[in-house]
Amino acid sequence: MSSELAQIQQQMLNAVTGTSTAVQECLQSGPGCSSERGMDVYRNNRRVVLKSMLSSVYRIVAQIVGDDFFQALIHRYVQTQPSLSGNLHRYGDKLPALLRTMPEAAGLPYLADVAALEWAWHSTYYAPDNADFDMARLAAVAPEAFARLGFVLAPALQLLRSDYPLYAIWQRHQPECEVEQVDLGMGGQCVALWRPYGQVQIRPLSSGEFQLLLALQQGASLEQAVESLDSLTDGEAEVDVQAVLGWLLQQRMLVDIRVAV
Amino acid sequence: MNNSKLLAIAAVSGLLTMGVMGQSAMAAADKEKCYGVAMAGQNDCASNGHACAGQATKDKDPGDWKYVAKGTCENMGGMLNK
Amino acid sequence: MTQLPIAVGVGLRGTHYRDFLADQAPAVPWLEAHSENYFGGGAALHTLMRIRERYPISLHGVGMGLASADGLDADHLRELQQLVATVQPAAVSEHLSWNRSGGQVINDLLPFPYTAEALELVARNVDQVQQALGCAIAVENLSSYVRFRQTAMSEAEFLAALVERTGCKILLDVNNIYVNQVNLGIDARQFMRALPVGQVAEIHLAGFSTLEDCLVDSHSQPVCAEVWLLYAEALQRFGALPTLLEWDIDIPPLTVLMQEADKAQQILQQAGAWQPMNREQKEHGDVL
Repeated sequence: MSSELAQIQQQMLNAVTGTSTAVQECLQSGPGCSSERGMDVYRNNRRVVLKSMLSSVYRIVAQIVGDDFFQALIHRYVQTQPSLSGNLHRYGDKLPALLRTMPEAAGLPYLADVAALEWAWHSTYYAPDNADFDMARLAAVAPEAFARLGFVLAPALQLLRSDYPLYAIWQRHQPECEVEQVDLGMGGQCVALWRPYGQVQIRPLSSGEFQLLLALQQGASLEQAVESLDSLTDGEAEVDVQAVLGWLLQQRMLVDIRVAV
Repeated sequence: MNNSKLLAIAAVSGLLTMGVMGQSAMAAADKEKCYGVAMAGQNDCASNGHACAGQATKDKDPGDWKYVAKGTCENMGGMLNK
Repeated sequence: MTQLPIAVGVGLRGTHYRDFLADQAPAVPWLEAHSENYFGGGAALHTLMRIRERYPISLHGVGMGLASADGLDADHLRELQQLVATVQPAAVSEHLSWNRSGGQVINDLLPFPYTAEALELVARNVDQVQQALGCAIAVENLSSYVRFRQTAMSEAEFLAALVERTGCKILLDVNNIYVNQVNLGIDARQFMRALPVGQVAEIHLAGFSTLEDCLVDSHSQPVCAEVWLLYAEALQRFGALPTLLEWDIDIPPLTVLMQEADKAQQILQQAGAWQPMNREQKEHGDVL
């Protein structure tokens, strides 16, 4: 039941993405611009625009792999990954997944995690704003219900876990950084990204802090979140729960509470 | 009462004690600084026709894949050198 | 909703944010921002809101795809709705183009055949946007690089019919009709004659670049002589209108942009004395 217009648009989309030239049947050349040249303009524009978007997000990946590799990488991405949104800022989320599957990047096993960090940074930057937490909401809760409280966290908060020293690698690629080397053997790191106002903040987290925050973010009650720490080894499970909650409050990441019924 | 429950109750009590003092009250001027000035958005590229893709920026196909990522790291278990 | 002043504004681009926030606010009568750049929150939206305290803002969408046969992206519309509610802009506009098919998006302004079927669809989509936003939008003519055998009317006739159907307004991009004249052989003057006087709410000016024989609407150059001429003629026909100077690639310092805007301002001021032809409308700006 596809309309003629829908068919033409599907054909033109296929021509712009380079999968079929069937749309040429529907086109007429103009005096200044042949229909082939015209489609070239659209095809070229699509690639340039999407690559520009990817280059603006994945700056550390580009630094790590160098320009030749990066250009080839984003070319492959643009060839294989469609855009799904009219807002260009949404394009590029699957680059970490692409890197994980690419034999050419297998020599840099931490690269996909760096890409995930950069996408998280970008998403945090444009995440919706949230209001300050209303302490009166908490004051109204009976102490018996404290353990069953859930916390709604800011949409800008992102939690990442890596088998590699992700935070150290990130630091090493900051312009003001004087660290010469990162010891990849130092073990995995967890990282939090958040945005109290307009600027993205980053800090490393202990495994325990990561687990606690992740459980809360996924909707666990505070008691459940604390219980989830039992799965960690003794040293990792040491978490100052009150300090973590205080940090969430101070950094404007606490949006609301949920009282379980 | 189990340990997790006690910990949770203590933490929320602590949060209440911090109270509004724990929320950073900021002057408007500080707030401006905390927001900062935005980076340029990417959607200008999709604007009226071909903002980012004139003749000057003709996209080139990098051709066959002949690259292997070496990165700033010389070898796997080793160091990430600047 | 307020209105745009009948004066020459410029496109708000990231490179000029600091200029517009400086202690000495540059003397620009209004600014046009690309809506999608301010979806979400944080520094982007906050910067726009600070600039909005100083200048009237027009929100110009690049990603709605009003002519997408698959219909509008509900999330995209919701985000625009939220932005419009927050910014309370002086005007809202979109393009007469499609960008989505089968779930895939081309982040561009793609043309389509101007047929009765397309009119039906675009009118439905424009209605949906206007209902969601609670105001009329202006719809901009495209620069196209291809044309379709199926086309049954001109783009101008299509726009005129769309206005009739939906009560939307027209954003006339003078550079685009010039580019289409050279590339596709349309007649720019005939195009303007086909547009209803009183329904054009705003004019866009920009410069193009060339790709062999083909003009590419890259917004990368000063406005060309032929386009200045067409601009003066447009003002003569449609009356003095809010005008925007766009520059998106190789963006010069704001002072250069403002000099170019000044040229347009002089032409606009001369036109200020003219009355639009056959004008029964009240004031031009009151439409948005």
